[in-house]
Amino acid sequence: MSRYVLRRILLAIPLLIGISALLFILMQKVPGGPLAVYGNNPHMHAADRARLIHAMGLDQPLHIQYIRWLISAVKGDLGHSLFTGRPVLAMIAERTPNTLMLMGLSTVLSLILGLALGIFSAVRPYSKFDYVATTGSFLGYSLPTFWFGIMLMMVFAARLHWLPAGGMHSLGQEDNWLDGLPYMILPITVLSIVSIASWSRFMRSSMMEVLRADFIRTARAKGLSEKVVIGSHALRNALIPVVTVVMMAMPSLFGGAVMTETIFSWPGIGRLFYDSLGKSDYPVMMGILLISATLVVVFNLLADVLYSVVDPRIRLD
Amino acid sequence: MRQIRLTPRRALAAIAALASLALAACAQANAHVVRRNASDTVVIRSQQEPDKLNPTITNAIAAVDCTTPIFNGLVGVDDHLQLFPDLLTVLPTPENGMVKPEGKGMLVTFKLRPGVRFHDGVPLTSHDVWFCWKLHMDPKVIVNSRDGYDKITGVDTPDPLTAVVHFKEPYAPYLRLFSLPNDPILPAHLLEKMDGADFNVSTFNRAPVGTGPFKFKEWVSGDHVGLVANPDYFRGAPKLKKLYIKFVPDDNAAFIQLANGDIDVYADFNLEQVEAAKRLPYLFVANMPSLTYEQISFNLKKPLFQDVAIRKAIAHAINKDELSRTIYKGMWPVAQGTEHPLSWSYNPKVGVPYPYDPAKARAILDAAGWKPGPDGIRVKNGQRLSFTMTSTAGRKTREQVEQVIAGYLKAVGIEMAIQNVEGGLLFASYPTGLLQSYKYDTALFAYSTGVDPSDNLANWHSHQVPPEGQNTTHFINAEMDRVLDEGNRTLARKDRQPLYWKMTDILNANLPVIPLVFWTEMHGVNRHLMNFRANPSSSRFVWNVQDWYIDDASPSAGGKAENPS
Repeated sequence: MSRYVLRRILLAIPLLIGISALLFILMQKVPGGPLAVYGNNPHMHAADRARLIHAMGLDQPLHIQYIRWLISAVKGDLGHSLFTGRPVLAMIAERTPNTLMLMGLSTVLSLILGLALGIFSAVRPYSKFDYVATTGSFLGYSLPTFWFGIMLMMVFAARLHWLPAGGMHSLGQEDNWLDGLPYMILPITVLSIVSIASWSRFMRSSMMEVLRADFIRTARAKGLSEKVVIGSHALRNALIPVVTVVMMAMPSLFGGAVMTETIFSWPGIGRLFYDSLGKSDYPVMMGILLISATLVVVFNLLADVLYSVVDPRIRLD
Repeated sequence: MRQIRLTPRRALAAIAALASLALAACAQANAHVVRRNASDTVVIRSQQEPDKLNPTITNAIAAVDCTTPIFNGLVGVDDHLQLFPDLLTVLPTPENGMVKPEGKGMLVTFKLRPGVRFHDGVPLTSHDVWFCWKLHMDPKVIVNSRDGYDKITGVDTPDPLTAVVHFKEPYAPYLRLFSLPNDPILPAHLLEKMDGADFNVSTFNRAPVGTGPFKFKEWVSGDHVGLVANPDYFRGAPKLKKLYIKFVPDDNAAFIQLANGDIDVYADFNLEQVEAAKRLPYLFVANMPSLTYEQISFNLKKPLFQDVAIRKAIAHAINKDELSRTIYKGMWPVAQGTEHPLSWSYNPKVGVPYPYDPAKARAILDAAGWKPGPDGIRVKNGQRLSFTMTSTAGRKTREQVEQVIAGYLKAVGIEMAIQNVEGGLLFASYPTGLLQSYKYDTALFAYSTGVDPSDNLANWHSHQVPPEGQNTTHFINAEMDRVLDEGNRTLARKDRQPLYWKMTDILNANLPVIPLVFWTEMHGVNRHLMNFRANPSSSRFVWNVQDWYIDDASPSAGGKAENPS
């Protein structure tokens, strides 16, 4: 197993380099570029533009720029933002707790509700509860975030005045933990609805398949109570495929939700990415994408390893 | 069953419909809410977060609202586009002898206002003016533009309150220099020991020190910038205690926050939001005339447009009044030239050079040899009178204007196809951008000019063909070059005025562009906020923030009474 893990890690290195090279090139090929913010400034001349491009290091050939970036990235330095002039790592670090809080809470909530919904639906398939849950999850899964977020804000912020319309704190209350609570409710609801919908579907189908298996019939024949049959025999087996799905969702804990964070003015990583995209702030975008890509690779591996733990039939070598 | 395909256009239309529905709903619901902030606090919404709070090395519009209250320049611009001495005691002009010729160049004496201190208590002196010039010329400092500063040969500081600036040639817009929004006076004592490269990434850029009515207090990344009143401000302590600039990227969320009284100023409403705000009695919409104009550019490199008859026929075929009345809802006034009627460079005799007259358009085309073909589109020597118009995709009003214009042109036998692209591709610098590399037929977008008409030089001078400048129509005219050069060198306004009138005449005779309408910037403001006076210059509305105050008692009096617009 350790050999397997080592091999996977070694394979990940060229993969990440390939991804980063591809992203680096694609990013700079998008028309506009970092000088687009200067627009049609009548006071900017060709010399001014050339001076700024040189200061940003963008006058170097693309491959030289990439190799420079790669070397410092390997050393743990993701460079400086083209606009703020601050280290990319510092900019990411100050946003990370905000995103982790938002995504963490919504993931926990979705896991609890999604898995519970899936299990109940599977235990009583084609019941009224199952139909309601199924319809609900299809609805939830197909709701576009930007629309649903605005609609929630319309109802709870604009009409009822129960909850604030975006932000993370009242102005001047940044250290007041209690003040922040109402600000979390709407974004977490939006984020959770989609995950609950999809995870409950996975859980339901996985559970139903297991419940049809021979060993469940045997367990029932032995006279075990339904609670034990479902709770320990069926659930553990049904969770196996769900582990993969959940693990694959983990990297987004860091990456955040671009749409939701933007709609709700949440100062997280997703918004940082969105802002950087608008300005073509290449180093910041590269930093966020590189960390996200690394997390995807890591959690992919973790999912495979975990798979062999929950399912002894699978052996990694 | 008929299938409805979800095209991007339909999706956009659906989103727009939903958004206006949403706006209407929230506008109705909140008729009772007033304000939620303390009566010594005002919150301004900014769509974007600034990158730095150092105006000299940022070009982000988002930074203007944060930095203008912190800093002062030598010269300010008021809401009637009049220049006033800000850190100066008097504006230097040739008339008062403070601007004098010197050899081939000129000499300007700036007299600083006594008793001005930076927020850290250090007095402002002429040395700070010298430092700001040096800063602009430092090869390591990432200033956006050295325009004007590169004509300065030296700054003398005979005493702490006098700066004498030597120019190597006459430079008419000299009052533009050392001023907001981009070039206020920075504290030399905090910055001059730094290397230029360190200046670019200095902590000063996130916690600036200026002379303005508000002091920097905090910057909560991704959330807001907080400013507090400067009790020692040289014009007296501001009436407010706190000023927040809050970053709210989503327009709908921001509108709800304005409607709920969480924010007091929402800059740059669109036309739908103006309608929605009418239902909220405690809001008023401050209409601010803008020097930016919407126009049609001709690519004069294309043989088709080299015949001025075609440009003139197109000008007569377009009903600007109808466009202004319908699509721009009467809010954006018709433009008969590039100069705004508020500006001293506007020629009152310009009249209506190209009135809407389709018959005349047809006659001009007939005379130029373009005869209607079998499908109604005119033809000359086998070439059809057909071209494309390019604009920024996704901007609803521009797309509507294009469609209406295509209709006007079709009526006189001209075929125009619409070919919109993403704004980044249209405006990118040479050689990527379609405008800068002349990869378009006609284009619909906006030109914005500064308070001084010398900004026109970048658009119409033959030396300003990209990549050097913004002459994206490829307008080459020797007389225009002479007039613009002269306008840049002539110091007295009374001598400059006829030059810019002449410029307008040349433009109207040659039509490299057809100006359509001037923008009106529309700001949603809480009626309890008093003394909100929008300013057409690029300092927008924060220029007089020291006079703002909240009147909780009389919502009906409101800013409106004090905002004649």
